[in-house]
Amino acid sequence: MARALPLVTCPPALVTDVIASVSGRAGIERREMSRTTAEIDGLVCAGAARLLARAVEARGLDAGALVPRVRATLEKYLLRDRPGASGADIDHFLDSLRADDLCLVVACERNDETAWGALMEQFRATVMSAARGACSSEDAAEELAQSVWAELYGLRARADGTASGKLAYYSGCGSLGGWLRAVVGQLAIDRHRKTARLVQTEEDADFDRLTSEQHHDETNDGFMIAASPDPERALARRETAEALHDSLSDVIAELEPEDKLLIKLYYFDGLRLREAGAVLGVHEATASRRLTRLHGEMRRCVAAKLVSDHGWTKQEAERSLTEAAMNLETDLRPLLVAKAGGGKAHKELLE
Amino acid sequence: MKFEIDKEMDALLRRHAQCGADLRRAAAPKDDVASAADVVAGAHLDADQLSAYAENALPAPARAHYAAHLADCDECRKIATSITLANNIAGELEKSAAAIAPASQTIPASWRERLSAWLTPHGAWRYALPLIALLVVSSIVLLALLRGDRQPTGELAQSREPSPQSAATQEIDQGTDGEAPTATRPAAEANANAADDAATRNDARSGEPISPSKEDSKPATSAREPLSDAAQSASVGRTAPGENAPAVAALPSPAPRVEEVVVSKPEALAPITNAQPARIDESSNSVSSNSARSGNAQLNSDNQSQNAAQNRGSVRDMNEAEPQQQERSRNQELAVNARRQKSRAPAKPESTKREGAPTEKKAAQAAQDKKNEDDEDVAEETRIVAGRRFRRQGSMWVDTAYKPSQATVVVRRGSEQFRALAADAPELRSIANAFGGEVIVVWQGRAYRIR
Repeated sequence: MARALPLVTCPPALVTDVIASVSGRAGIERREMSRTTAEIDGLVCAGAARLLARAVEARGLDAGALVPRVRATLEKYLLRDRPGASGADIDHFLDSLRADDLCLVVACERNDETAWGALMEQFRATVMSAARGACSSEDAAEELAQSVWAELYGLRARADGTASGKLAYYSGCGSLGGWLRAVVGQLAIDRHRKTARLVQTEEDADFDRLTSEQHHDETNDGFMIAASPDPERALARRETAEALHDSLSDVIAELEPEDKLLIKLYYFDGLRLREAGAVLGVHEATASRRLTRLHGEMRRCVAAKLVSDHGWTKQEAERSLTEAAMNLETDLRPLLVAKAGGGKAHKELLE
Repeated sequence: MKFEIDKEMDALLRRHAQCGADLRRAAAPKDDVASAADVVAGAHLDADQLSAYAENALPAPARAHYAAHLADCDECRKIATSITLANNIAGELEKSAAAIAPASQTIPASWRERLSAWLTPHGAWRYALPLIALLVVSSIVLLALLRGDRQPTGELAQSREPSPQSAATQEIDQGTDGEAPTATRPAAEANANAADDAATRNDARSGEPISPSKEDSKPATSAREPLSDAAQSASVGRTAPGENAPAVAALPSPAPRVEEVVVSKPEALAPITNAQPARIDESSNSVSSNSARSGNAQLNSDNQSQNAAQNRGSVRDMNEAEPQQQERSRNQELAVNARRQKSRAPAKPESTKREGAPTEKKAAQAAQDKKNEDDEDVAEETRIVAGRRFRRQGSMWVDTAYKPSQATVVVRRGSEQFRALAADAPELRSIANAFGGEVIVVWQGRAYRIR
C-alpha cells in the first residue's frame, strides 16, 4: 500500500498547525496528503455515526467503536483501488455497509453475551446449512459447524488478552450470512485438503500419477473423436486437436476478467446462464448477450491464432473449426466406445 | 429474448472445458501443494471479499479486481458460486412469499381461509365484522324478547276488547253531550299529540343503536320513568273520549305507538301492563272532568303534567293493589320467554331483568359456546411429528403454530427449494414425509405450504 492511513482520528486543526510549520515543496505535498487523510477521517467518523443511526439494534455501541472497522473496510475495498475517491463516493460506500450485522459483530468482539446469543440464534441454521452443503455426512457437517463457531469465537488470545476470532475479519460490506457461508466453505476446503494429504500414501500417489498420465493421454486428443484406421489422417486430426486446444486456451487466457469468468462459470463449472449471471451480478439476458458476443470474438481470435502460431491458412482454420465441431456433434459413438474400452485401446486405434 | 449461439464454438468450448477439467483432475496432487502455498501467501480471496463479491456489494474497481482472481482460481470461484446460489434461493423464497401473500388473500381455498383473509390486518372487515356480528346477535336477542313480550300484550289487548256495555256508554257519551265530543276531541287530540311526542321521543331513543354500556349505565328507574310517562300520557289521550278501556282499543293510530314503545323497551313492559287498568279508570275520570270543565286543549295539556304525576302515584298504588293472578301470569310469561331465548342460564330474577341485564353478555356467552364447540371439533384430529403439533383441516395438515393471517410459501416436494429447505432443516423433510398430502408447517417464523 502506497499510503498508510492512520486509524486513530486526530483533530484537523492540530494537523494544520503542524503542517503550517513546514515549508517548501515537501511540506506542501505533506500538507495535501494530511488534509486528505483528515478529510477521510472526518468522513469515516460521520459515516460511522450514520451507520449506528441506521442500525435497528445498536447494542450499546458508540460511533468510536465502529470507526476502526469502518476505516479498514474503506481502505480495503475502495481506497486501495481508487485512492482519489471523492467524498460522495466514500459516503455512498459507507452508507452501503451492513449496519446491523456490523454492530452485532463488533458487540460480539466486545464479549457481549447478548450479542453472542443473537449471533448464534440468527445464524446457527445458516452455518449448519453451509456445512451440510460442504460435507458428505451429517456428522461431518456437525463437526464442521462446531469448528466454525470455535473459529469465530477465537481459540487464541491477542496481546491485549481478548480472543482473536475470525469475526475480526468481517467488514460489513456483504451480509453476515454470506460471510459465514464463505467461512464455512473455506474451512471445509482446508479440512478436506489436510485430510486428503494425511490419508494419501505413497502407493496411492503413484497410482494417482499413473492414472493422471493415462488421463492426460486420453484428454490431449479430446478433439479427435472419430477414430480413423488411416494413420496419416489420424495424425492430422491429432495435430489439429492440439492446435485448437492450445489456441482456445490462449484466447481464453487473454479475455477480459469478467468475460473469462463467464466462460469459466458457464463451460468449466457447468452453471446455467441464470446462475452465471447471478455470480457476475447481471441478468440472465445480459449474460446470454455477452456469451454470444464472446463466441464471435473467440472464433475470430482462435482462427487468427491458428494462422499466426500454427501456420494455417485462413480457410484451413475456418474449416478445421467447423469440422471439429461437427465431429463432436455427430460422431459421439466412437468416443464413448473408446472411453469404455480404455485408454490403451483408444491409443492403439489412433496409432 | 433469445440469442443466436455459435453452436460450433459452443461445442468446442464444452469439449475444451472437459479436457481442462480432466487435466486439472490429473494434476490435482500438485495443485494441492500449490493451493496450500497460495493460502499461506494470502493469494486467495478471504471470506469477506468472497461474500462481498457474491452479494454484488463491491465498488466497480474492486469487483473487477476480484473477478480477475475468480476467473483463474477454481477454489474461490466455487465458494463465491455457492454463496451466490444460496443467496439466490433465499431471495426466491422471499419473492415467492411476497407473491403468494396477496394471492392467498384473493383466492383462499376454504371458507376458513377466506374468513381469515378478511380478518387479516389488511382486510377491511377486520373491525366491521365483529361489530356486525354483535349487532346481529343483539337484534336476534331483542327479537326473541319481542316475540316473548308480544303475546302478553296481544292478550292484554284482547282482554281490553270493548264490551257491549262500554260501547253503549261511549255512544251515549257521544250522542247526549253535544259539546263534549267537540270539546273533548281537541283535548284528546292534544293529549294524543303529547303522547305522540313522548312516544316519538321514545321511538327515537329506541331507534338509537343500543350499546351495552349505554344501557348498563342507564339506571333502571330513569329508563322506566319517561316510558311510563309517555304511556300514561298516551293512555290519557286515548281514554279521554270514552273514559274507559274499550276506547283505547277502538282508536287506531295511538295503539300501535304504544305497542312500539312497549316493544322497543321490553323492560318497561311490566309497569305499563300493571298500570294499564288503573290508568284507564283514573285518568279517564280526570281527563273527562278536565275537558268538561274547560273544553280547552291548552288547559288540558297544562294539566297533563299533573295528570302524569297523579298517574305515577296511581301506578304505584295500583302496583300494590295488583291482583296476584296477574303477577302469576306474568311470571309464567317470563318463564316462557326465558325458554324461547334458549338462554342456557336459568331464568334470572325479575329485578335483574328489569335493570336491563346485558343481552350482549348472553350473546357473547352463546358465541363463546359456539366457538368452543368448533374448537372441539377441530381439535379432534391432531398429530405430533418432529415435536410439532399438526391439526387436520380437510385434506390438509396444519401446524398449530400457524396463524391464518400468516402468508405461506408454497414449496413442492422434490423441488429445488424443497431440497434447500430440507438441507437447512431435516425435520421439515421428516414432516413432509410423515404427511402424504398438503402440510403447512411454521419454521423459523415463516409458514411453508408443502405440496
